[in-house]
Amino acid sequence: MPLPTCFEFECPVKTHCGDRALENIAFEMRAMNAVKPLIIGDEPAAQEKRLVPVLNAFKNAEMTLGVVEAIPVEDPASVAAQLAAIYRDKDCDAIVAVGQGPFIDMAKWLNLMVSTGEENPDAFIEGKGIPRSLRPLAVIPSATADGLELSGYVRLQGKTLRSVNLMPPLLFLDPRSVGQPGDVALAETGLTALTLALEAMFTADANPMDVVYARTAAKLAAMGLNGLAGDSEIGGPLSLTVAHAAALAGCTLGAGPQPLAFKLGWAVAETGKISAAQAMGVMLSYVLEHRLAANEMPADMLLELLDSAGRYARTPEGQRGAAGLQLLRDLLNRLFETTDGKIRRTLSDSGLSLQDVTEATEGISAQGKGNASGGQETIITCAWEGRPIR
Amino acid sequence: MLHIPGYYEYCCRVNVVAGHDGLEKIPALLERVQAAKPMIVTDRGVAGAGLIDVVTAALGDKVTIGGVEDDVPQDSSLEAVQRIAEAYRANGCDALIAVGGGSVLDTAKGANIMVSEETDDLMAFSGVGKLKRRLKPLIAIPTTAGTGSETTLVAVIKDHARHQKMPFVSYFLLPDAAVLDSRMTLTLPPAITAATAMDALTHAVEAYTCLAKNPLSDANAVSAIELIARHLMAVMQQPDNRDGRLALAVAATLAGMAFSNAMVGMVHNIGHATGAVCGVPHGTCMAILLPYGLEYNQHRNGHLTAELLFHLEGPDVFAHTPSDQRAQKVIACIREMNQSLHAITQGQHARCLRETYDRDGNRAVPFERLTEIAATAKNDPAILLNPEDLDDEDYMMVLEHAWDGSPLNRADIAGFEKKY
Repeated sequence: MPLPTCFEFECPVKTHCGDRALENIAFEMRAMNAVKPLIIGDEPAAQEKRLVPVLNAFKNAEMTLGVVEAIPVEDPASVAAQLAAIYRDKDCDAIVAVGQGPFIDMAKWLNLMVSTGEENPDAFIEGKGIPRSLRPLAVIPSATADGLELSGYVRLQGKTLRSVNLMPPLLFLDPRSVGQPGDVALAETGLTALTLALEAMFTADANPMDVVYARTAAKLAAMGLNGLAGDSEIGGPLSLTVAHAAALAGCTLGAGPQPLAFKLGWAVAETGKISAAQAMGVMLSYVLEHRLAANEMPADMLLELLDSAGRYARTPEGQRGAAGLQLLRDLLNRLFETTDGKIRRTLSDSGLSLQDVTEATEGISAQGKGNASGGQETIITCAWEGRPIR
Repeated sequence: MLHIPGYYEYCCRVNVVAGHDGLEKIPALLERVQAAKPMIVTDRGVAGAGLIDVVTAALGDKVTIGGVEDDVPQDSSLEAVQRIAEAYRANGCDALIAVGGGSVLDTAKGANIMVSEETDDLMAFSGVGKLKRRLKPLIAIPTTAGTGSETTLVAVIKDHARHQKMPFVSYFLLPDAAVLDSRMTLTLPPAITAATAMDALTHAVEAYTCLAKNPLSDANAVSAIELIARHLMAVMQQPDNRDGRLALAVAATLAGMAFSNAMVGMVHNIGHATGAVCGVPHGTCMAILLPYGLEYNQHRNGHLTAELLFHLEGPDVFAHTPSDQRAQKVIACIREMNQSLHAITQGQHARCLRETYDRDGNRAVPFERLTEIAATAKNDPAILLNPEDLDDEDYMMVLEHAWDGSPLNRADIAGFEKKY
């Protein structure tokens, strides 16, 4: 890939991943001058007792902990305000958030509130600067992630804040804390990660530092999805692999604009007939096929990312791009088979009509990093039918 | 292939700005960290090469420069740190811009501790994790494409009065931003371009092949290797190749991120010792020793070295090389790179230790001093994450071959047959 002549990269996230990762959390808190963290967990984390290893990790840390479990996410602004009151009352100095998706959005907003004293998100939307030095926030995500947990995005009641300063500085991925979701949920997390990662890689202005995260996230997601699709060569615990992919995919996105397949996926999910992750998973290969053709970018590296350097090298140069896209579609087909059709291969599989999809995605702009202008209708039609663009 | 260890950590919080006009982004970077009056820290060589003029011209009238301290010694010293901290306070500065290599950056980091902590006792902050809060903003502008020091969380300051080197380790020592601008390396002499690029290549290769590797450091490493493989010879042939210069600067930073998170191995271990005993520049040591490190470790990590062929030589060479010969091919490629660099620099780029010379034209590494280098290397911690141990005989075998430029005879590795 050509090197852009000008770029900027920042990822403030420190990753801890693997066995006993949680045992480093107290050390990292102390290194950031925090000794009274407020530990918060969402309802699924409480049900699956995923807070237990986190609390155990603090046993010998000689820190005062605030703990609030089983937090609902239906009214995040109100919940965050209540938690902010607890944080201040107990004189806390950091936040540890155990959970996924909207709950992590709420935790980031809580951190912004307690760090700045500002309680109105509109103030930031209207231009108030988000400072670099927020309180330390550690995120302990599950394998049921929506891909934005480690990004610089905060979605709050229909509003979106984004800043690299909102990216959590600490990430802990531990086999004990990622949970063991079912195959469909795991596949959905993997498809979200794959979408964010591949769209970040295959853009005309991809810089090599973004590519580091994107490449790793894509390979992890492919490894996890291939494992779910029945590839016996998968190594390591599947949940950790997929959670790992989703977390790094969030780092890849950072505070940049959301890529096209990701946005289309969320828009189609509004119909209630298919999840956002599945919709973006279906649309990914079509978005890439269109973008790669429009930008005249080689799709060759897809083959190396989804399979191996050996497969890439063995495949003749002129066939690599098509083989990579086919691999992506084959993966979805295999997931369809192993999940008894619960993971969709096409948008029509979900029972949506083409008109439903067109209407749902009407307001989505193709503008954004790497998105080729035009062609949205073609992408949607082909994704609905399951027919390659060419 | 993705290699996932049982546990790993990865962090690089430096904001990287890269471009042919990267320097022009500094006012915005300073504004972002609410600083308006930076002090520039550099050394005489950088200032003499006119690079500070380039930096100040790029800043224009958007930034008030609070002073230029251009007297950083080759080894960062406590005296220099104290002098810069005093000037910073006297001039009412609110940020630091370090323009140069590792010593300049270490000195700026030391001064930053003093002014941020409002202390005159730098020693109180020596060690691991002593800093507990963000320091004043620090922007690093590297002037070579090799060390990767702009990505490290370490500073080493020498206290000449006590004959001590004081280490400082903290995430708060990471620069707020690293600005990579092709103009900063455009006039680097060919031999330094070659040696620093091989230094970066060594960071990437050792990070990929040694024991503390992780998937993110691997991705850093392969990106760095691809950029160096694609651009080094083009820059050597055409030194004013701006795109190539930028690519090498980006590669050095990527390699810095790789080794900061995965550490290094015996090439650095022996290279540190060779530099300490005989004064051979670090990049030169790396270029010479890299093929030997890979050769020595091959029975342990040959499969990893083999994977690098894809990134170093491209898919066609990878596909056409039998899998059991790929590691050896990587080693041969690196030797060919050294050979080409030797030819392009008209012999200034040394291929073996015997070809290194000091400023007076004397041989820098007399054969008789190899024993001393080996003894020094045994105490250098860089060996801890090397895939294979080295005993006295192993060190001498590697050094003797690196001295005369002959490949290792792997059957000579002490205990090789017994172990394997």
